[in-house]
Amino acid sequence: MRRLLILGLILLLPAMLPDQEETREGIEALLETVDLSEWDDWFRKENGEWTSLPSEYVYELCMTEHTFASGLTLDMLKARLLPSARTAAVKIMMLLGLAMIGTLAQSLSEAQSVGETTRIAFRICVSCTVIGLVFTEIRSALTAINTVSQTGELLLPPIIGFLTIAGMENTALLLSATRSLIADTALRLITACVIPLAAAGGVLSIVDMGTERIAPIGKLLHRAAKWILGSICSLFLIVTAVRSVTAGSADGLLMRTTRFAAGSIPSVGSLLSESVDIAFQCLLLVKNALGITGCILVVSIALKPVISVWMTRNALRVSALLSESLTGKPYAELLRAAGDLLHILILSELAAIGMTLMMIAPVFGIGSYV
Amino acid sequence: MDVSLLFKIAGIGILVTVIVQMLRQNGREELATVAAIAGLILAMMLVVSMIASLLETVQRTFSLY
Amino acid sequence: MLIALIGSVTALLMRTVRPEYAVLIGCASGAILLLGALSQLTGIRETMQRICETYSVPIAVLATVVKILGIAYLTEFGVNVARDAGQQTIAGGLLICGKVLILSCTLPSAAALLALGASLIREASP
Repeated sequence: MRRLLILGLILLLPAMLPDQEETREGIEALLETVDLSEWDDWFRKENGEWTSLPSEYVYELCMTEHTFASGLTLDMLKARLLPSARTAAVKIMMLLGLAMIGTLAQSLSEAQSVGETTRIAFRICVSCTVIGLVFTEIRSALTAINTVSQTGELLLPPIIGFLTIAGMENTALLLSATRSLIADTALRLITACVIPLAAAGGVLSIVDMGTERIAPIGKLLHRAAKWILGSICSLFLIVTAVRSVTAGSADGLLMRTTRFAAGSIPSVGSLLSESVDIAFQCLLLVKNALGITGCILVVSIALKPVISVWMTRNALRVSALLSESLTGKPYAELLRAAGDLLHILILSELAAIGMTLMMIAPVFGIGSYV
Repeated sequence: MDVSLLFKIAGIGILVTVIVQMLRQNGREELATVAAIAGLILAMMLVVSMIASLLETVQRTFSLY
Repeated sequence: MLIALIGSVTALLMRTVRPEYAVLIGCASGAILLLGALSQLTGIRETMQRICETYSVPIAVLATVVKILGIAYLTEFGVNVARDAGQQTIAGGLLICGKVLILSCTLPSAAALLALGASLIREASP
């Protein structure tokens, strides 16, 4: 409360200046309290893709009428998607070629003598290639989730610092509580339960040598992994939504009482309440800008791995479809199982990103109650 | 490396049969057996040389390792 | 094809007179046919190498697959020749040998896979 009044007094001095100047100075004064150098370092280190550095982007958002979508232009998406699409096409061709050679060699020799062994040997070869492909994707997905987690951890100190200065302590507490919920519980559950289950299920389905006995276990594991992921996301949503509503309304109440108190001071009441209004507007502007930049930071850093895994999954699905007509059931099932495994990986990566974004969401929720 | 080899082997076979018949008629049993075995070894050498060249071609063509 | 026709008829002729020559003729005609097929595939090695380099496909996989193909076909050929000669035991022995060789070709890739899986487990559970 005291800080707000001091801020109001600072703004009171050039009281004769038009509103625009006051807003600008207020914003600059607020931005000076926020230290975004860590965000810049992390952004540079992880090669995030955006039009400008986070600190500059916050300034742009506050000052100008910046439309949100202009950063993520089609050019950036194209530059990211095309190389992945090319590697995905290569993978499709390689997988199809292997499956076709396998079926061809099978048809060359009869079932009695060497044919059976050749079939098994080819199945082993193709499974090894596919599993190798899938394991690299699993590893990149695990690192991606770790990166998102670290980004979330890095995201918070400036925002929490700003919110504490601005007097919105409830939301600050909520943010750190959600952060620990994500990092300790949700993400650890995902990396320890969901991904290994899905990996085991996928490997079992892939290695099934046509006995049709192992594949159902693989499917069961896959379904279990999906169910666990879904329940983690739902629980997280429920908990965070409930908490953020209470925190947002508490902080809104705080700000409204401050404004009312400032307005009811006799003789300087109107002037003070005007400056306090402007101060609040600046606060809201900077807060929203910080929130948006935080979300953009997370998305731009996490975009690359998600797109690459997505492309590989599409490659596997397309080759599964094609090989069904060219080669036959077994290889199509193999490729489809690998595609499903990658599907769960994509879902868990998206879940991590979504949870981190939801962590920042209460920041936006404060302004609506003022 | 074509049909001539087959005819060569068939020719050796027929020749050996004729020689064995003649030798048997003359009463030389052991010479007949020796001639048969010699003919067989000759034919086998032809075939083995062909199979060796086949294996070498396979190794050369598929020498991806 | 012509060679197969001539070969089989000659072998049949020889079977009545000198049975051992029938086996040899069968073997020789099979070898001629195989050589004819191989001569069509002369440029395959360079083509495969170029494809692997262009598309960054690990060449070990393709090499294993081709090796298995070669072993399978040669084993098949030998087993058939032995069966023609009426020697089931030799055919069975060759069959087992071929199967063992094929499966041993897949061992390196299976071992690499196990190593990859172990490293993944180590990474996922610190």
